[in-house]
Amino acid sequence: MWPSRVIEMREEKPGPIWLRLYALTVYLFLYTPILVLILFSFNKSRRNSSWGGFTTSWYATLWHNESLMRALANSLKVACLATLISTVIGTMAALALSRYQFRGRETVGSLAYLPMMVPEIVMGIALLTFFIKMGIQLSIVSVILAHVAFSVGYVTVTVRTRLAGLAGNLEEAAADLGATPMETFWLVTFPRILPGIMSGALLAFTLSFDDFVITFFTAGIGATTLPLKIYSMLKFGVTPEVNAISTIMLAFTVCLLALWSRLESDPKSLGR
Amino acid sequence: MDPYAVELLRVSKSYKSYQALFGIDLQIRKGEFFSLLGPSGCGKTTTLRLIAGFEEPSSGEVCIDGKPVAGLPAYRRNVNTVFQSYSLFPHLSIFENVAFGLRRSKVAEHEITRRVGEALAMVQLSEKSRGRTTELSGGQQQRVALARALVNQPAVLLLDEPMAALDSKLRKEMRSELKRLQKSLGITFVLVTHDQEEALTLSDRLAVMNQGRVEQVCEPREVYERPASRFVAEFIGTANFLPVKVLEVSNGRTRVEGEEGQFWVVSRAGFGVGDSAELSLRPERMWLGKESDPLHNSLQGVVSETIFMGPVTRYLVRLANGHLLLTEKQNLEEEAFQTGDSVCVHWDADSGALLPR
Repeated sequence: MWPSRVIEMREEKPGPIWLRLYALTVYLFLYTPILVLILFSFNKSRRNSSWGGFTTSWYATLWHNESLMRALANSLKVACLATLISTVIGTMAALALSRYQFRGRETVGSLAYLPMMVPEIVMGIALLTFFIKMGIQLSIVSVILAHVAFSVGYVTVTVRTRLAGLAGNLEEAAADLGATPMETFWLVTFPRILPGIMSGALLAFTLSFDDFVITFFTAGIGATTLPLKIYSMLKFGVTPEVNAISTIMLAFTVCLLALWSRLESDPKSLGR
Repeated sequence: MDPYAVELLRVSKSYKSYQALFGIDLQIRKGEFFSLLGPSGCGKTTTLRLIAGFEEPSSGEVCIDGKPVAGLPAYRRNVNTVFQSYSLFPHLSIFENVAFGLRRSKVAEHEITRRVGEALAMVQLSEKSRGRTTELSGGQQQRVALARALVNQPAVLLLDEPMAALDSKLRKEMRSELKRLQKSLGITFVLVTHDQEEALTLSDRLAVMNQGRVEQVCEPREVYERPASRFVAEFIGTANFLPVKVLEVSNGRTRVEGEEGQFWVVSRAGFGVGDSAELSLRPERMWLGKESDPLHNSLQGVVSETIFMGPVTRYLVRLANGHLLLTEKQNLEEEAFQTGDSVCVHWDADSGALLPR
């Protein structure tokens, strides 16, 4: 029995008809272009202007497009490494911010939000200038560094929220039962914040995998990621191939986001 | 002599903006049920945290089992705590919660199974061991917390207001269960509570704390009948206070004089002829009569209010000087007094207690 958790029972009434129509219109406006894109990735005709029948052959040709596959490999490499690094740094930052008192704690805490506020193009230019001034060659490494820079804040904020929501003095309880600080972290703190870490990592991965603007400024030769590749393919017009690869990216991102929202909302993962 | 289970020597604790403890001394004997009783903010929880090792004293010394524990972190101390919020690990099963301490001290697997089984049987939760802590009621969580601490056979078990979150019926059940456990295990229990009834019924001895100081350490009966200060007398039960002056000390009796007259009271160390004092009188130790009785202390007055409370009735008696005296009388078959009746209030010499003023 949980007297503190009050479940509000309220009959859900559908809104008036005009409100539902309005909502439908808004969603159509938002999602019709995407639906058209998905539809035309199955178009037999090379032109986007006419429907020539259903085919999945564009998806097959993607696999044989070597430069496209190289871009996909780059994107996955960048996203995986950037996620790994930013998750570790972000988690440690979140722990420091919520467990220790130090000078400038508030400032550092607020700075974590900055990359979310700064316009991407500003961030891109700033990073480019920074790399040049520091004498860092633009390559896949500079892209990874740039991605870490903008995703670390998301991880910090997500994990910190999770830490703040931990009920009771579980860490003291662990120490009381003889767990060293290391054991306390790995046996109690870490399992409790793992859903937060996972959700931060997924967010970082999604952001990195989809990023165009910052990558555009910081990528060197041989560091073409999938979004950059798709952009360059557009020079020859929006082909069904572009539609197909975009559809795959879309499906992939939607899956990641679905996973993320599950982690965020699952009452069991909150472990009250 | 046997060392104390816990000993605090002139322990002070101050934080940035305030001082929580002012050089307190405490000796907790082995195997006793000891309570730290006081209102919130009196320093009782801070004292507990210093013993557990969550905090270090600013000055003074804490000894567990006769050995100073300064600098020894919580995870190296042979004490376990039952927290107010229970603090069970929600990601572990009930069995693993209880096994947590044993696993840290590298106890063999079959030994763990046996001891956890025993501990859960002790708190009547054997059939739940594979379940999750989140599926348990408040009282059951409380019992898991107890098992989790006791399974380690600590030298001292610390209990931080363990029953504050339970409803009153469950609290009474837990109380007798706690007492039973402590008696059968013989482990030293240190209970922090603000509930005087809890402290009086459970403790072998208790310390009453106020504003970072220990006011009195003694057995429950003594703390009630011979409170060391007005604070203690008022915190534990109800009392009347008469300002008096000591006239004579002889044969274990002291004669005092107040505005209302002269009374005999049991002598108390530290009170000599000419000293100012306060006479504390418990309402239920006084009785009402129609005529004055020279064998007892007595005072004339008029009943100004009667309060019926079921088993007892309270009488407020207005004395000649206008002061009110609260008395309590069991509702037996005999005649009750009415508002406006002239009465005599009586009490025995050993029913009063002298307090410093």
